[in-house]
Amino acid sequence: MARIADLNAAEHGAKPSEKASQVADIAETRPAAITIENLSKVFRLRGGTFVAVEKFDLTIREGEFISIVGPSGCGKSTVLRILAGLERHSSGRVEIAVNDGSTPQLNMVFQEASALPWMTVGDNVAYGLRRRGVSAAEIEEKVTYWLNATALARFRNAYPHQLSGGMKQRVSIARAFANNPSILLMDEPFAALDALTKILLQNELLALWEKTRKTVVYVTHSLEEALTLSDRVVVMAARPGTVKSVLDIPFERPRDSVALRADPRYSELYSRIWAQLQEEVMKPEVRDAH
Amino acid sequence: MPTDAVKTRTIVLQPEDKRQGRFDHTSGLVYIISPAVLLAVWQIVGLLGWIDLRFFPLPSQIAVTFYELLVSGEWFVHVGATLGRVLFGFIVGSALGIVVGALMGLVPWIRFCVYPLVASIYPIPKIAIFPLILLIFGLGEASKLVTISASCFFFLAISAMSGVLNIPRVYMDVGRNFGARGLDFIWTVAIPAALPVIFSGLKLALGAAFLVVVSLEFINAESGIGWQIWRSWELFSIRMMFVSLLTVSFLGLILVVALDWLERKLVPWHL
Repeated sequence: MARIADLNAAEHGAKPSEKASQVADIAETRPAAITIENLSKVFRLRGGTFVAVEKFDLTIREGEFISIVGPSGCGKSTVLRILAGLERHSSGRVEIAVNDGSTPQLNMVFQEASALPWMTVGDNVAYGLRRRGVSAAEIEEKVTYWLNATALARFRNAYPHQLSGGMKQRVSIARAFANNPSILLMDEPFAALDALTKILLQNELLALWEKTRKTVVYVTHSLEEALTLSDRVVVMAARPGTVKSVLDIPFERPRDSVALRADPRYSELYSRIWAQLQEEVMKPEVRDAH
Repeated sequence: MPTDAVKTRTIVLQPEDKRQGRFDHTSGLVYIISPAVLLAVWQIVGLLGWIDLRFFPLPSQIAVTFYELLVSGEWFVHVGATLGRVLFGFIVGSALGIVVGALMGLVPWIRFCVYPLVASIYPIPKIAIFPLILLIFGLGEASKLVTISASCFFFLAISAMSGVLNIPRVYMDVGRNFGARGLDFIWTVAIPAALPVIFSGLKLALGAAFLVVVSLEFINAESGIGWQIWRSWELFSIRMMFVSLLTVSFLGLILVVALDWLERKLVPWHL
């Protein structure tokens, strides 16, 4: 209960001037949530090995929204899966630090429809909480809160197959937020949705994030998405996947995904990132892979 | 180029046929209609003298015999005996098969150790190892129950394994990322995700259970529908034989309908 109250306080309490200066705060004063040093991931395939990620270095600060963009197959999803505990890295150091005394909890919103089809929407949202042995009363309270926050309250007893694609993705988002993870991992969560739903959900995600200010690592193909949501954008080089550059995104919050596009800095940043990506996409070893 | 050769062709799309869709194909009636039609045709061609009544007595004559067996209580004794054996073997064998199959699907080293054994024992007709089972478990009920369980076990071990191996990766990822481990993972992810395939296995296993129970009752039983069929042959009672055969098919139908019902309850997203 205390946590949710805190979230609301953050929403109402922060003044615009504080928010504008927050970007600078993050870079300098906040402690590191994730420290990745010299990370590599080598997959053993039939008849050889494939280096997916190599010499990957990145520090992500607490409360930061960071996007990773890069060409297909550059290893950005692999980095995310390593953070989620779904793959083990081959070498390097990955450190995840949490300051509230709890065990670091990293939960993922997946690209594909990942709401478990054999559970109702409510049970899906409660899934992580139940695994952690949270009390029934607390589960009830959090599930209700997050179903309301994602406009799913009416569908609590429905099964995922009865929902639209956008609603299914809201279930995944609610499930991740409800578990109150220290770090939220998102792997192209809106890639499979139509353009209208995508904009709608981006705005919803922005609003939810404003309330919680969680550390988010967001993988995407879409530069618009990266620019709209992030504090910093990591551009990855491909084959092997490594960090090519990191750009600060200076837009004030709260942001509106449509209004943002009128800002002259938006197109300037867009071109810069696109120029870097183009270099990567045109590399022969990457181009031939398409 | 002669342009006058081009003729306008028109097709008119027909609207849906309003007469269609009035009959509900999913209603329980479907299960009754085709057997009822078959019995009616049988009765008519029998009365017309087109079939030999010594081998194919009239359904009405079979019904009379059925009534006599019902009144004497004999029918219930045999149905009870057979149903008890089938249900016990089916439930125990299938449950063990699902557990072993799910473990084979989830844990590579268990699969590599156990699957070759399962695959090599599966094709042996379980009726062929019945004499061995008789030696081990004796002449009583236990031997029959073990044999039926064993038949069902293999169907479920194989279907549960392939069901688990074909679970979309994202569901496994959700389970692992949100902290499901061990039995909790099996119970909340692996088994539910494999349920559609498991249900196919259950239907096959049910057929096998009936096949095996009737065979066993031919060989070694003092009760049961198989015993009754064999006894009809010894007594040259064709009518009783048909009552028994129809009883087996009726029991099979009831259990398949029950499984279909259970499947709709447990796998609502799949149907």
